[in-house]
Amino acid sequence: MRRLASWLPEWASPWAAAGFVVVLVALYALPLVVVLDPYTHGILTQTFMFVAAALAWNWLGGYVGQISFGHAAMFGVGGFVTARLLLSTDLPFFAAWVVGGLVAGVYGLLWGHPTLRLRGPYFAIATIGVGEATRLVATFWSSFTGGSSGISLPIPSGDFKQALYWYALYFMAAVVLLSYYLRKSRIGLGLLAIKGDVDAAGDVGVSATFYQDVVLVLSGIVVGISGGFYASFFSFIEPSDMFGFERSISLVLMGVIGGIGTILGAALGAVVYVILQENLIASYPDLYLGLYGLLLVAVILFEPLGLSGLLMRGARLVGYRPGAGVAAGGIGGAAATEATGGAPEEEPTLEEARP
Amino acid sequence: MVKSFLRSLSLWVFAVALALAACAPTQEEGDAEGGGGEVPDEVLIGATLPLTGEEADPGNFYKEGYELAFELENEDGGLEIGGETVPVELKLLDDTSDQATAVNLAERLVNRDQVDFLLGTYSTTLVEAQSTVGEQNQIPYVNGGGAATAIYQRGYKWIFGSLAPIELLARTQMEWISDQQEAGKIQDPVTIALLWENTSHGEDYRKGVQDFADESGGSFEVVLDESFELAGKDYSALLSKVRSADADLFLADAHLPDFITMHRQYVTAGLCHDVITYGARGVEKDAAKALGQENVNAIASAVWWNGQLGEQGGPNEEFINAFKEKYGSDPEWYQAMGYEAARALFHAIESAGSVDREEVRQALVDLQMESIVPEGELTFPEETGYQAQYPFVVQQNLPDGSSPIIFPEELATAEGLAPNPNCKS
Repeated sequence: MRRLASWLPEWASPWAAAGFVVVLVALYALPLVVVLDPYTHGILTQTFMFVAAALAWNWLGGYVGQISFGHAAMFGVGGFVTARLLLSTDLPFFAAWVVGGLVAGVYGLLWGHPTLRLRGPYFAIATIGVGEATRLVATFWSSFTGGSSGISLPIPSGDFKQALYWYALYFMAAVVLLSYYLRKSRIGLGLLAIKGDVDAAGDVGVSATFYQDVVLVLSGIVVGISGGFYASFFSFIEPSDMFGFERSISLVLMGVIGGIGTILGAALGAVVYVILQENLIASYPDLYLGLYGLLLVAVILFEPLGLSGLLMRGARLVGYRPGAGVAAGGIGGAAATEATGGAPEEEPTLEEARP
Repeated sequence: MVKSFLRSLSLWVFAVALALAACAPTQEEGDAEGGGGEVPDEVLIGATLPLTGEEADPGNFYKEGYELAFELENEDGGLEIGGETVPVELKLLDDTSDQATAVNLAERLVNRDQVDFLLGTYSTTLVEAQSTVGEQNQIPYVNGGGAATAIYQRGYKWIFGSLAPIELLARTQMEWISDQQEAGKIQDPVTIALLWENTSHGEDYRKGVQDFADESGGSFEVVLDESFELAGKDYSALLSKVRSADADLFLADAHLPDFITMHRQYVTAGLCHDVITYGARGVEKDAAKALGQENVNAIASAVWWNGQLGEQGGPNEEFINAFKEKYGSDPEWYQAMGYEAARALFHAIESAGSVDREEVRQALVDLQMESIVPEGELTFPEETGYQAQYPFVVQQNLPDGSSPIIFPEELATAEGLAPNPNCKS
């Protein structure tokens, strides 16, 4: 482990790196050693994509504490830009995803730069407005989005759809690394400072505007690429699905169920969300959103750190003391502290998180 | 801390139990293997319909049509495949009127439930999205709920539609109006206020009206041409434009919930036109209940089927009698087209004599089936992307609550009301 540590940047935990590599290799090899039916294969592919999107949402919602209900705007922009590029140019699909992501990032900056000056519920309300306005514009911009009917992409071969599994895995892995970097880097410290007290952060030279803009652009790029990937996966997209409030809320739910502010939480939240959705949607199509709502209320009341908080409680019972970086976040600092029995070690401080 | 942990654990145990309960199958599970050439024990056909959500009413009408077709087929012993009769089962899921759900559930039906074939959902937008699953998985997908030509112009090989195109629907309505002009009942030239939903369905309708107007040599002029969003709640701004346009005819293309919402606001606004139509909508019993018979009188609609075609006997009479016996009411075109889509698939499976997907696809390409549609024969021509082509019938609501066929002349059972007598009063 020491040898591994010597290869890593000083802020990277060798245990985390080893775990990451093991999981990555296992997921890479899974379809090669186990015969997965196309349905399961597709579910895993979608899960990887949503893990990436949830992590990107978490950068803003978890690291900065700015809960966005408008990320569907970037998801949709990325999806439709990608779709149009694939339909009208010879760009390779991965290049189209990247361009779609970049456009989504710029779009995020356009509405984010002014709205990120708002804090808490005011920002959340503003993002709802942005999301709905974008959906309406997209719905009536028929020449670009196909209107309410949406647009179809050429049907890919079965091999391509199989290959998307690995593209999604690489994408997710890259976003996990970026999340870890953001969390541990100087930017991450700045974000923590902004989350703790934006005025105090400004007093010590942390520019809230700059840091938040950077995070929103990065988040928009990743969510936009996810939208492009989604378009390639389903070969069909339409505005109310891509830009809908349900899409935005799904990213919030992933974060909250898993545990806002943590990498593991956002990833676990996405996994649980996709699995629950796939099973509930067929059996209880009317109820599944209601059940998510109940789950959301339950998490907020009983376990603000979500699934990751529960894991930490379990780990602590067997003597493990998670590091500060593992236990960041929660829906609200006070709520999290209260729910964890006032355990101060769960709320990271700048000192603890400093590499 | 232990107490706190147990409290959280109980929460998550509850959540996991909930998820496991959700995983438990609540609908009938089939185990037929698709894609084989051997005679199976059962043929499993998957479908989704909008049983809840915006399109719940027509979705449930289609369900009635599907279920009747399956029941009648199984009463006869099932499908004749390879000299044996095989029961056919429907695995139907609710897509909640949502495109993404329709796509996901179709994927699930094909790849997890291993259905042999797919029947389509209802409404153009849902079919347009869901049909990509049929094409991706190369499984025959027969739908009676998607009429826009855009669905069939994508070069897909596995998608078959039993609804004739919307452009033809618009043209048929214009032909009827043109006949009324020739008979001196409606002035010539006339102006049109044209509203269309912002979908490929609406675009087809618009094109049909616009092309006919352009070809009419000045008899028709579109003075208002506006689109609207699906599932809208407030059309007052749009209807203000209609009032300002002061057109003679009000031609709109809307789905059932939008028609009911828009027409309620149309009536409230005190609007009246010599001809009022909402495309294929207007005669639904639900609309008369929601709006009042006096407010839906004289609305004309062009549809793929009308119960009065049953007077010609044949499969129409058989369908109508069976429907009345099962449900105790008269069928509308929704149930008829659901029933006919299922029957077309059954016919193709029997013609192929197998559940091999490629063979059944070829049987659908070659299909020539005696049908309940107006011309009496259903085919899926290759040149139209496997979308059926047959004439529409125009029907109109009369004050006595009936909705007779008024056009074409050879099928008409009553004379239409033109101009709209309500405007005179």
